[in-house]
Amino acid sequence: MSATAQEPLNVQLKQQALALARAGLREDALQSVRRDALALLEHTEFPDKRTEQWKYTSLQALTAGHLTRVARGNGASLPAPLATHRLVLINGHYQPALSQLPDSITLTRFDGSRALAAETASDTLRTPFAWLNNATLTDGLQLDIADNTVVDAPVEVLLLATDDAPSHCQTRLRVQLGHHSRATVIERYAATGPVLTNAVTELVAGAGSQLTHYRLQAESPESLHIGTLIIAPGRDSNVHSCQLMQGNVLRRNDVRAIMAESGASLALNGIFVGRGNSHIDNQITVEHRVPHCHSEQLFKGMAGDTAKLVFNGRIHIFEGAKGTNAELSNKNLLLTPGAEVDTKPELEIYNDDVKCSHGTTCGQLDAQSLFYLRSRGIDAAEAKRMLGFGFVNELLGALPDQAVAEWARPWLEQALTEAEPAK
Amino acid sequence: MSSQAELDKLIRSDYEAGFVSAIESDTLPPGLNEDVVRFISQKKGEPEWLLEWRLEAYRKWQAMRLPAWAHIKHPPLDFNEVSYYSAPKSMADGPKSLDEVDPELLRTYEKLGIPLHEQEMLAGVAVDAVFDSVSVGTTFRAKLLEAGVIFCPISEAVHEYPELVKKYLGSVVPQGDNFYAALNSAVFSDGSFVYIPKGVRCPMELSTYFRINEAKTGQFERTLIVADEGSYVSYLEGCTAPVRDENQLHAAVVELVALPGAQIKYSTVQNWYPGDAEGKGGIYNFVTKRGVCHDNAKISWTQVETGSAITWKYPSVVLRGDNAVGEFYSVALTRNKQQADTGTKMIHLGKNTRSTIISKGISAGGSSNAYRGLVRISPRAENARNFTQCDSLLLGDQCGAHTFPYIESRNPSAMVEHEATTSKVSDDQLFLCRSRGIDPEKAVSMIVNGFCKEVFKELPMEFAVEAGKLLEVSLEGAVG
Amino acid sequence: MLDIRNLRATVAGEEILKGLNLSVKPGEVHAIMGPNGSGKSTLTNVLSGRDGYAITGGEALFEGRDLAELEPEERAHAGLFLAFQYPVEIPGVSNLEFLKASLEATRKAQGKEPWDAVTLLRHARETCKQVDLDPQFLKRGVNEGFSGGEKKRNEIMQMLLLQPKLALLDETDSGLDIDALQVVARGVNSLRSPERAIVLVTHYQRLLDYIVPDYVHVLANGRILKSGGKELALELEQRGYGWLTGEEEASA
Repeated sequence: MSATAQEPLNVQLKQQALALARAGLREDALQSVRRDALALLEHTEFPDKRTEQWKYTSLQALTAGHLTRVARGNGASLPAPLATHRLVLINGHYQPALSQLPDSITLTRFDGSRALAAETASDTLRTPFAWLNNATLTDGLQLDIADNTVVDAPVEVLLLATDDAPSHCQTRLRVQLGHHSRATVIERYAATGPVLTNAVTELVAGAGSQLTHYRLQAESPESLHIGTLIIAPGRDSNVHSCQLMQGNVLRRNDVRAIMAESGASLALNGIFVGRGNSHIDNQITVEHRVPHCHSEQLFKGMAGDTAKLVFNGRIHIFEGAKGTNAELSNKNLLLTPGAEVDTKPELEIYNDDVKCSHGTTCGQLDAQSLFYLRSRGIDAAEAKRMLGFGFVNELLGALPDQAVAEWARPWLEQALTEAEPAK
Repeated sequence: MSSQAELDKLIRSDYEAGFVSAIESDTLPPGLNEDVVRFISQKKGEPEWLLEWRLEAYRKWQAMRLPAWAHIKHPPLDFNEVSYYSAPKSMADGPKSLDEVDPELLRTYEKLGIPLHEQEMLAGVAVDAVFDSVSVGTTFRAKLLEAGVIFCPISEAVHEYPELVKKYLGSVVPQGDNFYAALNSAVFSDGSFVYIPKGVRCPMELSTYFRINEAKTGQFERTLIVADEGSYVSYLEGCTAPVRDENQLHAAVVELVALPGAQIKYSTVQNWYPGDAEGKGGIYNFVTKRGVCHDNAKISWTQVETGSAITWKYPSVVLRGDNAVGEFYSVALTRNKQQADTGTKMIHLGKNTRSTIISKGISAGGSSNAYRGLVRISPRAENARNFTQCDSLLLGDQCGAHTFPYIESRNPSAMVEHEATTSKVSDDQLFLCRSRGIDPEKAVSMIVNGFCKEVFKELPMEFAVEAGKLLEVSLEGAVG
Repeated sequence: MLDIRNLRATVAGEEILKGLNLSVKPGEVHAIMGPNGSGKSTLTNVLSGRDGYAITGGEALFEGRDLAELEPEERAHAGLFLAFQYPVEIPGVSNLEFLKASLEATRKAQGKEPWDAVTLLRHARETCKQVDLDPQFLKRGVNEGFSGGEKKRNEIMQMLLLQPKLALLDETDSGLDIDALQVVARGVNSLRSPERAIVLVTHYQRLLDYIVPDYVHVLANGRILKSGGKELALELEQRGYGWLTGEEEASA
């Protein structure tokens, strides 16, 4: 270990990030993006226990030095595709040979050959990890769907991380949907080995467009994921984003939805299941900046074994955002002793002409239902699994895309079965 | 006619308790150091252990940082500009009974609607009146003592009941608990002490009335209530202060101990001077209130907060014993430039512990009103239950209403439910009332009272009426 | 009692009432019928003084006083009552509390002695019975969790307690089953007297089977197109509105 090992972890992480960022500097069309990000990194501290937004999540796992080594593995086999068209990135790098692009989508790589839209700027991003992603931006995909275009079949973007030593990769995805267009994008993460995926995804939906987005995160238990998702719905657009997450060593998702054009409507859903000793931390912010937008969030979490689930859902209504309608519901099940759920639904409201509500529950499976099932001869474990599945079915049943639902069912069943305590 | 214009008009009402009493005082010059701590301790003739306790708190405080997490903004506080001790001169020799108390002091309390002559008092309510840093009189003490109930200024309790004070002081809120609690522990001047013996139901309501009078003083009172096994007490505190242009600091600590089977009901009507319409002046109210509930005990906090420029307080319950019950009912009204960051903590440690949180925030004018709460279920808290309902009502589009509930659950058999809504007094509701002949002012006050009803019903009867009136006065001229 | 002369009114800049004339004398019951979007609700809202409705021409006089000059509560004090089509809920404010405030203010403005609590409760209970509402409803929040029919009966109860000179009933029959309709009609009929007048605004003729009007007016496109006796309602029931508005095809 270097001499800096004596420093507190957040100081070490900052030094590692700065080293990566400085090494990544080069002169091309993206140089200002990287420089801005580096400047932000230089002036910020990496989080520790005292950082409010990281109160329940420790970065202790990163002492293994993930940020000091870039993931280089390529041995992993690809999981079966969920859609006809699939684009593949391995350790953050685009794999043209493994990818197939529909005609209606234009692909651009973040390879420095051209500059990027303003939304990619670092000030939209909020965490040092996202800035690190910007500071080291050399690959990744931007998908452009032209105006007035309907992309019929879902498009899958598979982001695979693989290495057998603690290491990291930076992944970048931007989806830009033209006005009055429609598309479904499946953003799917897979990993083998103790790799940290540091992801940034941006969704920009044009006026009157309809975007359906899935974020599937069922990476291997030994992997780590720190991700940022930015959603910018355009005027009168309709965005539905659904996240399905499985716990791993460390999973942290910062989601920021910016309702900055009126008439936009956003549905944000998620299912997160933690088992074993896994950790999931969701930090969701929906910003209502303009009048007459609608947002609806439903997140369901289940924790078994000694897993820890964190949920922070913040609705921020800005001054002047009249006629806002915003709802948030977060329901959690603790399946076994030893598991932990920490949840905080926040409202921050600076306008009176709004309808806002949030609700959260935290508890166990209904004892009467359990008893009913058992009295019909179903054993306790199976009954729990069934009820747990029933708990998430409200969301799963509403998924617009069949392929994803079919993928999710066995995955969830397995997650629920394994969450049974080994008593 | 816009309802907003009427609302604005209604919001600008006057603070009725804003007069200054002409009382000569012994006031310590501003500034804080170990000598000040020693001076206060000496002034009260305290035993050595208490002086040491205060000094320990002072040293802890010196090493602490001002908390920055609350949703409030204020200029940096200079703790050397505050005077840490002020007492009416007439109190120097210590009047032995209410008959000896300076008549001007008694008039002050009469003007506030708190007559201290026992024969004129609300029947069944005993009052401890705290004026700046000292208690000026406690009513019905003899009658309470017949039942074994101790109700006296804490400065006296230190001398008369040293074992009780030594045993429980700081047992719920330790000296180094937080910045303001540490400050209070170092310089607390007076406050009330209550002890209810085993199995006794306190025969009357106890109340403390706090009044800040002197300029540039801080008030740092300390209240300690111990309810022994199976006893019951209902306690109420009220607070007011004169209108002054500078901000004044109030950093109190309240500790409640509910031993097995005991019940403590603690109600607050807080109406410190809130500052003027432009946000000038007003009390900075940084208060730590916490109770510990042993087996089968119950602590219920009810608060109606209408005053103070800044309110920072989180009356909490540590549910230590099995089957303990914690309750928090709150109405917080902010208007003009007031800021409130208030809520509660329910720490579930014992089995079958229950807690209920009902919080109603009303924001008007350019104010900011935040609920901040923590519900923690420890792994040992089998079958713990919490229900939280947290509603905000907005009167106007310049104000803010915020909700920050922290929920931490580590036991699968526990059930935690939290609900929050934000709404405004709708034009339709106002119109219905007006169409039935009710003027807008009355209509808003009815709707707001309806919004707060779940909390008001928790207050002792006389004070529920008071609270309703206080709200009405505060809303005067404020319709939406 | 009510004189509406060439009344023009706009909602959100759009002219809905386009020169409406109507005269109602004490003791009379008028029914105003018309297709959806004809301006029926605008008329009742303008008369009761709801925000967002602007009078741009003509006048509406109640006992010689210009309604436009009166605040909603002053209209109520003057003896005008609107039964809402969609009564709003006011959580936490009990019906009784609401009635007390309403009656206190109105009786005071009318120079009547206030009712003490006992009298109020007695009257309120009796009136509840009259409209088939369980007196328990008095303790519940205003319209909070009431069914559609209960809300409408609650409106009638308020009307009976306030004893207005002129009652405007805005689609009070909509959404009621036949039993509830009869209860409402009974309540309204009990208010009929030589000093009072009633204006029923309705889409359907069936209410008029139970509250027989002296006059029926057809409102379409912001004006009274035709007036007649109670037989006009039956004709409308059979022939629809198309023959009057000249949109035979479009009428429902």
